[in-house]
Amino acid sequence: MIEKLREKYALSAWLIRIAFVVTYVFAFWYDTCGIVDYMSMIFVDFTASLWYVPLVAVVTGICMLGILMIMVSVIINFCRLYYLPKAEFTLIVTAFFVLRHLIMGVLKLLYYITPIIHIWGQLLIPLIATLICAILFYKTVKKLYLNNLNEPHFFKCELILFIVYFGVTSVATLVA
Amino acid sequence: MKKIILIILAITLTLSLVPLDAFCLAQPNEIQQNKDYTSFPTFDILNDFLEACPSRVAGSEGEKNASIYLRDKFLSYGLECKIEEFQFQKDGLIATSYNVVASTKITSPNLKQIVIGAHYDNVNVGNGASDNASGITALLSIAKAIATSTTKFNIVFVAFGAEELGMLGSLRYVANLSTTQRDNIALMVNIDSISMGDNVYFYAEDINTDYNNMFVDVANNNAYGIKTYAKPISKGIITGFSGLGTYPYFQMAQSSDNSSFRSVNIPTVSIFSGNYNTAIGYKESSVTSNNVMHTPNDTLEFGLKALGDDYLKKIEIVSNCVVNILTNIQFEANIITAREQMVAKFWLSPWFASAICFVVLIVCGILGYLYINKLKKNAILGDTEIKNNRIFKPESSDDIYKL
Repeated sequence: MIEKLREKYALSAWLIRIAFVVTYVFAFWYDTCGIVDYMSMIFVDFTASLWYVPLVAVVTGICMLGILMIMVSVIINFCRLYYLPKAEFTLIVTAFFVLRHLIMGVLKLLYYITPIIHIWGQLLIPLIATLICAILFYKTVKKLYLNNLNEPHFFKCELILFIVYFGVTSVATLVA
Repeated sequence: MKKIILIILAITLTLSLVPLDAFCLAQPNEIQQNKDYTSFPTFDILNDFLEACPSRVAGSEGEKNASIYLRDKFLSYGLECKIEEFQFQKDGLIATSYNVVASTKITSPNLKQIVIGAHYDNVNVGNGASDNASGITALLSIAKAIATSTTKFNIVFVAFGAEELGMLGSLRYVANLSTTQRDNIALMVNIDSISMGDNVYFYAEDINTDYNNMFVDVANNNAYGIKTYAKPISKGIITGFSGLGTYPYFQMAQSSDNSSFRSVNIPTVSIFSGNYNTAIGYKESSVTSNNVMHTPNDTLEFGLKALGDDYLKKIEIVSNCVVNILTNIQFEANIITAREQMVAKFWLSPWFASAICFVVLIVCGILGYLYINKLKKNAILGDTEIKNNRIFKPESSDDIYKL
């Protein structure tokens, strides 16, 4: 699969980016509905039809893709992951975010049945989806780029990022 | 022939310039304007209140006058009534607002209490006929009926001030209650903006509750054949905002005085009007021009022009429904068990979810640390360790012989 990706790199890159935005819409549909709904309540003349949701979600998804690319670049430099091919690694990160969005989207379907699990979902759905993807991501990167010497460093960086991100998110949820 | 075509074209063009709404509404509007609404008991209450108190902006003299007007009304019904004054900050200055609290004469202190509330202030545009003179009309109408009836509860009527500035009146009212007093409240019924929206909704929790269903069922037995609804459970949730007190998330139907009570675990039923079918979530009306909340069009004249009888029928339905529930003994059990049906479980709270999140992170941290140590060992020893393991294991020796 990776070989195919490398053969048609430009096409693969665009397909993954498009998949990122599409799956973002799927994963954050419910949340975007809330935002559009809130706007509809505040602005009297604005009636939030269903079409605004994908529109807002696509725009947000594109912004998030841009942010993700910048963040990957920053993390590579900050964590000194110089042994990784930057462009290809960014693409693999994006691909795993696609998988993360798919898992989140499926789990968030539960909101429509029991919205009372909402606060759980807000914290635990991303945690579950990210944990699964992080393990698979590590295995893929290990297979492709890592050796005995740089493997501990890469794993340490990934683990710290994971713990810090969700630690901050949990604290932020409580403070909010 | 050319002349005829030109005339037809001219007529068509002229007609196309006239908005379609003008054709549809012109005739009924004229009829509705001249219509006599006095057959609706609530019309007089609403009209009288709006004439006496057209502007009731929080902290203004108009709001103070409205509080006095309401106190006099409650007293005239034979209820006990007092005005509770409170201060708040507005534009950097200290302003005063008032909660008007009326109650039936307490026959027994052991009886559970039911609070019926509606805010009487408005924003500084329009005269707040729907938001919330309509709620106040229902409140007065209920008070008038209950004053001469016997109920199994102590009923307290509260007209809240300064709701439009962030539910200040109800927050103050709740803050002044002791824990025992809060525990003694079986239910709080909030009435807000009930006349202009397309449908009347009842909302308690985002799960089915007996007490909310009871309100819907009773309201649906109205004389006008108008259907009322329980708020659709999965709609109106805004992600990214925290919940109120023990409530697990922000729900837009809690943007009124009911949330002040709900945040301290008092069961609530919120009655409001709107439409959950026209937009993704809540919208006052499917007709754009009827979305009048917080606009200059929120007046009785506009409401009657746009909706006619329906404007008043909704107020009648709500007040009759609440009176029916309060005076009917068979509903007592549903109200008493309301507290048990609330979504106030600890395992649904953000604290519990965060605790689970932290446990998962700690476990990941420990396992990760152990794994890193293992990887470091491998990095130092290269493949030696793996080879050694294989040599000294019996099954590995089989491999060697095979080779």
